[in-house]
Amino acid sequence: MTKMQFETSLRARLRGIPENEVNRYVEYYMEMINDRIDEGMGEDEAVAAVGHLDDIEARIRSERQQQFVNSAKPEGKKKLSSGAAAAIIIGCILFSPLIIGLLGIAIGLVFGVIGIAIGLFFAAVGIYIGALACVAAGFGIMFISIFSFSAGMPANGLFMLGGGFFLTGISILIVIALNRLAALIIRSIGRLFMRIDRRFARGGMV
Amino acid sequence: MDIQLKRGLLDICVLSAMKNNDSYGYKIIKDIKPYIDISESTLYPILRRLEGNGMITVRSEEFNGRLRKYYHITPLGKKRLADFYDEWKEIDAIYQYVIREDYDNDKNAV
Repeated sequence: MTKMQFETSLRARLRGIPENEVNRYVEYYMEMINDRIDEGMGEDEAVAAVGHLDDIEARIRSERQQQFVNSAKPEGKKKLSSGAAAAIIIGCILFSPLIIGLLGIAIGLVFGVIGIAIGLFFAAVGIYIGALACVAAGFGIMFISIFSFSAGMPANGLFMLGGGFFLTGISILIVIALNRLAALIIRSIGRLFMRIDRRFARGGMV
Repeated sequence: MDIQLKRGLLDICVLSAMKNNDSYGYKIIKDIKPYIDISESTLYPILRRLEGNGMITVRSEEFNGRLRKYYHITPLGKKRLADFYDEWKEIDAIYQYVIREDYDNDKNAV
């Protein structure tokens, strides 16, 4: 492999990494190759001596991942100065009526939201059970329509069969929609908790 | 060799390779390689880390019609080397204790 081929391949493999970083890596490896060539090594040999591109790419990506992990690690908790601590305590005492009032509103809001969520959950469960019952009822009506046909009432039987199909179809659609909605809500709640967890970890609060 | 121990020793070796004169990547590898295994891919993050920690500085200089990066050890880097000499005395004392224990055990067994 020539120097040019090495550079092109390395740049292609490092796609996704900021350009200035890629330039630094490329300059570094090219310097190593050039130093070997200046010492009398052949170009192919010099390129081969810096290592296989698979290893180089893996090393760079793992190093970048390590840097990311290190930068995400929380720093040690900073100690408050005694003056700042005293100011916070005095502030808490002076503004306690306001703080307690705001705390009450916040707690009320939280419980309100939880109440609404619980209400919505049971309403959804109710609709789900109702929809399943309608599916069963639809099949039941379709079954009964057979008797109407055999009793010589084709119009009645046809009406019941159509009604049964309609009820079953609508109910199945509602069940599917509720299933998807439930999955979406569960995924969103999961993502929300992960985001909160990441933010706390980054802020050094956990 | 233990990876963590090797990593620490590599930092020291790289600093040591430029303690008397400024050096460049390929020369650092050539100087260190007889003593500890090191590749280009291993050296790069070490140089970046030492630079980030203020233990070395980098300058580019023209050589054979191209730019070559030269690394220079800072007073902080020299202090790290001096600290290592002291640390190594402690490690050596531990080593002496460990091998003496082994020697005594072997003697008692005979």
